[in-house]
Amino acid sequence: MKMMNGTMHAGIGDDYKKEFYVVHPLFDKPEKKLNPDDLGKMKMTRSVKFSLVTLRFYLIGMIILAFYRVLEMSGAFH
Amino acid sequence: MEAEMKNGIHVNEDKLTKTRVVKSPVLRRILTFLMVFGPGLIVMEADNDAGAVSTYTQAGAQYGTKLLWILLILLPVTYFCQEMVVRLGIATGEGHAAMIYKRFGKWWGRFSLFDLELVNFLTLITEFAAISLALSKMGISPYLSVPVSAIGLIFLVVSGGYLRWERVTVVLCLLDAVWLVLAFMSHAGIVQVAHDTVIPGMPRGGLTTNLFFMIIAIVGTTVAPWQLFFQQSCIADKKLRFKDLPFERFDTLIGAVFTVIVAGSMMLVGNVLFQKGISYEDPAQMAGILGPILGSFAKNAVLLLMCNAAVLGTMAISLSSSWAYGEVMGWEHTLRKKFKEAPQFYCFFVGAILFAAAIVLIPNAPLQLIIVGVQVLAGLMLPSAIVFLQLLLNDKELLGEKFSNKPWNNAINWVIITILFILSAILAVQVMLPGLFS
Repeated sequence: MKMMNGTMHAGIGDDYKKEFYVVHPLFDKPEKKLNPDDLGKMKMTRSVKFSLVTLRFYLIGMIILAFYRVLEMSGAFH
Repeated sequence: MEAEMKNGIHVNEDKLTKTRVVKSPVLRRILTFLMVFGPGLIVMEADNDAGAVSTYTQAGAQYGTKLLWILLILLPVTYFCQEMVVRLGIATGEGHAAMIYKRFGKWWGRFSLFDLELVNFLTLITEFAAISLALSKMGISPYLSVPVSAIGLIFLVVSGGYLRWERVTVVLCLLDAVWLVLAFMSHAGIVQVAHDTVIPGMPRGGLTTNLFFMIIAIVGTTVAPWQLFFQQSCIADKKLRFKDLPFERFDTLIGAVFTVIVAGSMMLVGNVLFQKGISYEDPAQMAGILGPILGSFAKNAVLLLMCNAAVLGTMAISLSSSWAYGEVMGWEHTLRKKFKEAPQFYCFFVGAILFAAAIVLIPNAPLQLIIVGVQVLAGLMLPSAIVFLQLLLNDKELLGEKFSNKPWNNAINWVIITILFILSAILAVQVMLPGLFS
C-alpha cells in the first residue's frame, strides 16, 4: 500500500482499490503560511503614501466632528 | 495528511471530525466542503443582527418592495469584500488586525484596533438593548433576559471549543430561515417581488432625503467593518489550508446569498405594514401589529428572530474584538484552547459581554447617543478598513501572484471602495450635522 497526496492505493492482486482521506482542518498537520514578520512595513509608492496621509487627516477631522456632535447631544454647549 | 496504519490496515481514530476515508473523489470534495463550511455563513448571517432587522423591516414598512434591488446589488459587493479576507486569512494564517499592525505600522494598527473595539462595544450595547426590547414584549423582564443571554453566550464560547461553538452558531444562523416562512405568510405578490428585485426603481415620491439615507443605512448594514476582522480571524483559528480556499469561497458565497435572501424576507415582512398603511416604529412594535394580521406565530417568531439576530451579532462582534485584541497584544487568541490556556483572550470576551449587558440595564442609559456613535464610527471605519484590505491584497511581496488581487479584482474593488467611501462620509456627516441636509 502506498499513500500519495491524501489518496491511498491498495493493490490486492490485479484489483485496484482507491481511497481518499479527508482530514478536518483543525486536526491536519500545520502548514507553512506566508509570514509577514520578516518583511516589516509594506513598501508603498509615493501616491499610496500620500493617500494614506490624506486618509489619516480625514479620519482625524471626522473624529473631532464626532466628538463635537456627542458633546452637543449630551448638552455640554447648553 | 496523516494516515494511521496498523498491520497494513487503516485505523480511523476519530470518525466524527478528524479523519474520514471515502471511496470517490466527489465524496471527498463534499466532505471537505462540509468540514470547511462555517466561517463564511456565520460572518454573513451574523451581519443580519438586531440593527439589520430594524433597518430592513423599516425599509419594507416605508417603501414596500421598492428597495429589494439594492440587496441584489449588495450581494456581489459583500461577497467580493469577504473573498479578499478569505484569501488573506488562508494565505497568512493570521488575523486582520495583526496584518494591519505588521504591514502598516503602529499608528494604523492602533487606530484600526481602537476604532474596531469602540464601534464593536457600542454595537454590543445596541444588541443587548434589542434582546431586552424583544423579550420585554413577550413579558420577560430585561433584568432576567439580558443577564441570561449574556451568560448563555459566555458559556457557549468559553466552555465548548472551536467545533462546538461553530456548530451551534451555524444552527443559530440557519434558524433565520424562518424569515422566509414569514415572508411567504406575508402574501407579497411574487411577480411584484421578482420585478422589484431585478429592476431598480424608486418609490413614489422619488429620491427624497429620507430615502437617500435609508439606502445608505441598507448599504452600511450589509457591509460592516467587523466582518473583515471576524472572518479572517475565524479562518486563522480554524487553521484552514491553502487547498481549502475554493471551499471557503463557496462557503462565503452561500453565506452571502442566504443573508441577502433573509434580508429580503425581512423587507417583505415590513411590507405588510406598508400595504396596510401603518406607520413603523421598531421591530417589536411591528411584531405587535403583525399578530392580528398574520397570527400569533408571526408575532412571536419576529420577536424571537430579533432576539436570535441580536445573539448572533453579539457573539460574532465580541469575538472579532477579542481575536483582534489578542492578535495585536500577542496573547493566545483561539477558541481551540481552554480558558486557562488563553485566559486574557477569554477574559476580554467575557468582560466586553458583561460590561455591555450591564450598561443596558442602567435606567435611562444614553442609548440614542450610543446608536449615533455606532453609525458614525462604522461609517468612518468601513472605507478605511476596505482601503487597507485592498492594499494588503496587492501586497505581492507577501502574497505573491497566487493570492494577491488580479487586475479585475482591483477594478471591481476600487469601484466598491469609492462608492462606500462617498456613502459612509455622507452618512457620518448627516449624523453629526443633521441640519446640513434638511
